[in-house]
Amino acid sequence: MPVLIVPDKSKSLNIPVFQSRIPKPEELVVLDKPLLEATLEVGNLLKDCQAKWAFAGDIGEILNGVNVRPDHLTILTNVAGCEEISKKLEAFQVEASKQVENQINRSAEIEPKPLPIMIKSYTSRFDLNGQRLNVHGDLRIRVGDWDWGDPLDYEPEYVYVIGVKVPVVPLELKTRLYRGLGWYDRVAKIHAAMARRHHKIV
Amino acid sequence: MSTVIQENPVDVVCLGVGFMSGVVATELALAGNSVVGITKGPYWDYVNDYSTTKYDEWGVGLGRKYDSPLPLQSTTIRNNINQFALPVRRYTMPIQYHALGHGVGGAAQHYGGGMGRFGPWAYEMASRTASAYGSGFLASINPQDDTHDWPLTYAEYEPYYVEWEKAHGICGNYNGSPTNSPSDINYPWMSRNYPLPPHPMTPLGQLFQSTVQGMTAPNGQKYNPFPTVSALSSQPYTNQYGVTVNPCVYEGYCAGLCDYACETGAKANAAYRTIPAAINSGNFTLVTNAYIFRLELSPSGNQVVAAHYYDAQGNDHRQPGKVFFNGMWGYNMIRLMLLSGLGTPYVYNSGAGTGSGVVGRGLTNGYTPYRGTSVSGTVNIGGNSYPAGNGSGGGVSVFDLMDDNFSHSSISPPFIGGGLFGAGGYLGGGPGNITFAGGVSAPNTLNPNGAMGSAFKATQQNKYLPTKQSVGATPFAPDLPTFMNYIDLDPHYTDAYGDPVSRLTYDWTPNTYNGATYLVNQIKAILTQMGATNVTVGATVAPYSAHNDWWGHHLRGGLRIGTDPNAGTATAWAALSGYNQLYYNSNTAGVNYFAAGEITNTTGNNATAGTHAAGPQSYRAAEGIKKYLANVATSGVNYLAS
Amino acid sequence: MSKTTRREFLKIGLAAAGGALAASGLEIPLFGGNTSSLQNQITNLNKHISTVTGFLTLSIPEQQLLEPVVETIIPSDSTGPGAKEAGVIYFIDRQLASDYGQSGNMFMDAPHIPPNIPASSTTPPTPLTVKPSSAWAFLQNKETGAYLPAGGMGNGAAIPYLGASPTYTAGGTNYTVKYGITASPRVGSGINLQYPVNMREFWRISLAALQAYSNKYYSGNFQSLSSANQLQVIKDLWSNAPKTKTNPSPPADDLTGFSNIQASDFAYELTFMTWAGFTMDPIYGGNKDMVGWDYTGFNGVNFGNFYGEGLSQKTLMVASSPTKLKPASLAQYQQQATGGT
Repeated sequence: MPVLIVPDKSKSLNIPVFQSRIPKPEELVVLDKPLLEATLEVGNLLKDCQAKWAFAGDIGEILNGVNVRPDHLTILTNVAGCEEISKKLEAFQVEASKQVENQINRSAEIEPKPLPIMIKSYTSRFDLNGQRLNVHGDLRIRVGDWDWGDPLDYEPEYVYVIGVKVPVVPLELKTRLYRGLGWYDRVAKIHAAMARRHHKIV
Repeated sequence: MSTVIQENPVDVVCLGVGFMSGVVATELALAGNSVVGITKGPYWDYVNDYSTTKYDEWGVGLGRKYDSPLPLQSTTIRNNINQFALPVRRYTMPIQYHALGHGVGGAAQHYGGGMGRFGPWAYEMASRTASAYGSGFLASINPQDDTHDWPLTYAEYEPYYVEWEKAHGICGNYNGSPTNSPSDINYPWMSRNYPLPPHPMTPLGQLFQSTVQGMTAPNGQKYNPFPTVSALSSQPYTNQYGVTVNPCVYEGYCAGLCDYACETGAKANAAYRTIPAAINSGNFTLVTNAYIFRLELSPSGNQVVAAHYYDAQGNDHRQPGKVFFNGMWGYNMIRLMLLSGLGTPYVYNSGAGTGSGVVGRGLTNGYTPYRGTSVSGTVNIGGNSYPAGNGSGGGVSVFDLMDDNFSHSSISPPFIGGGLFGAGGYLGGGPGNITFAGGVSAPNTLNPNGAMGSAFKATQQNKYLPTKQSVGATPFAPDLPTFMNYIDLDPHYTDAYGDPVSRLTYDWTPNTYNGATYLVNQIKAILTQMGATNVTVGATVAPYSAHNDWWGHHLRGGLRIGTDPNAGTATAWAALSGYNQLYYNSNTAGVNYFAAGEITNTTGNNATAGTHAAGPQSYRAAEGIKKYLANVATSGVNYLAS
Repeated sequence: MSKTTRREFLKIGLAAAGGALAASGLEIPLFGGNTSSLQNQITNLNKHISTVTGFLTLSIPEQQLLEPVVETIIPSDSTGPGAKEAGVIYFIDRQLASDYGQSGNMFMDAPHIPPNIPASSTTPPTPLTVKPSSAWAFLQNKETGAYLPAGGMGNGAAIPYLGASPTYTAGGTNYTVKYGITASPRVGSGINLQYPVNMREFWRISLAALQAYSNKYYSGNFQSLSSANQLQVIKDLWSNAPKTKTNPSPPADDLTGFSNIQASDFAYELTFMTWAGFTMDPIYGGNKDMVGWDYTGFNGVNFGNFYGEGLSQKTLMVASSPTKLKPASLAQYQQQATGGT
């Protein structure tokens, strides 16, 4: 067995060396496994859903490549959809569907002083193996003391999650929403994701 | 005296960070093990590194600016042991001989995205041929035959194929199996479909599909066309590791003649499918610009204890680990073992026409010979041949002429196996301003002045705007393993650090050429039925009449797994019998493509199906490594019984 | 960024009136640019390109020779502009002055064995012998003196290469193969150029040899020959006709003419680099104003909407008849991608 002998370096090294930029974990868009599995399960169970529904919130964005870190699932639908989903996911339901109105924890940043944001929807809540899912039917938003907006509506886009086709809220709608709320950091994240995909959303 | 820099020991050391290491590193890191991945190149960030500079045929396609620099290392080639092996001195135009990848993702930074499973027959090629055609048949058609079965069957590999396809987002719709059940031993049946739908089909693809659906194949059944399998993502996708993938944007700087890196990450590649999850786990360390040159063995010689690599300044680093996965590209994987004294080197005995040993043995090829019997015709479907589309979508294939799907009993000249045929790939899958040999050719009968003068210039006018297409193929049956094709170390040339480069002794085997003479007639029938005009079969090219001089990109083998310890690496290191750390297996199934193109631009190949067939092996390796580490942890035993 | 009014805000989320808004339907360059400033950019860029006329490395005799050579290969004619209009000679000059000329990405180590050496026909046959490099020394087992792998001859003795004529039988047919001393690569392949000089030097020697050949066999400098003879001279290169040295057995290291440099290698290089100068991105100095792409119908980096055509790759790639796009260059693409700054 030959002994490990390192040969003399007889040649001068003139090899191009590229500056490596190894990404930090926070720069990578990776969905955590428990949430991924919950997404898959929901996608499978809601395959034949008649009502319009789509993944929304952060989960809807990360499935389109946006660099966010969701810790729960959100679905945006209408009231009928809420009922239908509750039937299909009844094994996981932890709260019966009801009208809910509350303030969310981030304010609108469009005027010098921050304006509180209220949302109301017909809400159902679920728990899939420790992963929370909130389903919102006819979600409406109110900024400060303005009038309530109309229920959010959209045409879903589709993405694939390991072979299961699932609907997501279009990023274009999210961009308009974030602009309306003054959350330009979120707009920037979506733009960065679309730039990586070579698409442009104004 | 040079000092050696000691690195912290880890559980798993991955040599090279390409497709295979990507799988192993991610599987093991996510399972909680400490993993180091070492690559001689950089980390490529497709947004920063590619998005505005990759549309550059000269720099990327021909200059290979993202690939391994030749001054760092090259390889040599000869056809026969009595020849002097010449080194590859430059990346030539446009086929990049020996274009080793460089950096994270490796060679998958530049391929056309073609994929496709091997069929069940390929895994039992030797035994099924013996039982169907007699035990001496293989030896009679393949001089110095060295064909062996794989140690696992297709059915055993099938679940690993599924994992591979999920991880990389492979697009398609089954593989043409009529029943898609495990009883179908002639087609790659699938327990579940590819995770992504196929790309949009071209008009030629549709014509091919509808034509063959009405034709009877030699096996007596109708042809079963299926969309060409592609590793270029067709939709936004998230894989089982939670890594998100952008869909292809079809802007055509993908494959064609030169093969390009992908600026949206749609082209499957460890850097954008597996490695992000490994990094995200916190258990994975990536070492770049690090040139692995030795594996250090234990005093008894039956264990690898550390990997040695040079950093960019030439310092020697010693990286210890419990398990080593060799995911380096073909020649380098074998070369490293030879340099390290690992395993029994293969030695060819030309007098006896046999060989002994294992490392470097069984080299084959998964591509058409540069000159072979061909067939072509013209169809009146035009299109855009400038960059639009991608390198592997748009077309349709049939598996009905592959493997043993038709009887080979009375075919003369005799051969085994068959070819994968298809048509309809996007015309604009990749720029081809300088067409290999066709555009830069010596004076010949077609062009008396070669590629010069007004007459030839006129042929280039509007060549990207064809109103009709030439459709054809140079088919090939499997290139069979033989004792005379192998890899060893070159006695004359060294890499930048003074170590011998690899030497390829290789020429195509007769099976490749003889299969073509039968297959061209099947293709001729299809072309005729499609309504092609000028359907012509070219002159027969006999075995050994056109020596190989392009060998780099689709060679396979050299370090195969098997149940015979004298033929395979079951004893390469006794610790991992039954599992493997290997990149390729030697038994290949011949695959063909024919796709549309103007003049002689017959593009399309399923040569990177070799990668697809190797993929399941990486999952087997990951599984084996987990078992091994568990064994070590629980019983302190540092070997793994099969 | 204007503030959103209440009224505008309330409109967000109104039921979409038909028409899906699919992000995947928009496929346009990374960031939008202002059209009129883009126009100015393009005009300025074109002006800059037109002013490129100097040479970095081609000497005056070389320029005077190469100009008619490239114009012979791609003439300006009734079908359209040729090498002259495209500035091919500037492309070649820039390449000779940079990485290509320096053989920067080439493997240049010795020994340099010419390819296509036939097997010896003498009796006994004269082999080519080359000593192994010292790199094999570490493979020697110090006790036994044997080398690993045992099949090699890394013991310091010169290794003989004879070529071979083995006979193999496949399917009942015998095939006798003639293998020369080296593999027989096609001209232009990666193992064909086995010269100890870099590409700049290769061109310098070959251009001089070409001129010497023209004078010796066609009675004048290449630039003074008729068009027919100019074409013929280059065809002669392809057929390896020129032997510019009278010595029938030049020493192996004689590279001063077409004696040990294969004329066909230079013919390939000339033809290849001329077509590259005609069809590669203008950023490299040739294909001026994209005349080469206009001629071939190539789009460069115009993916269907660079000039506002409103076409998409997805329709272009499955078309059954062609649509010509006005080409765009890499520099133009980068201008547009970065918003015209």
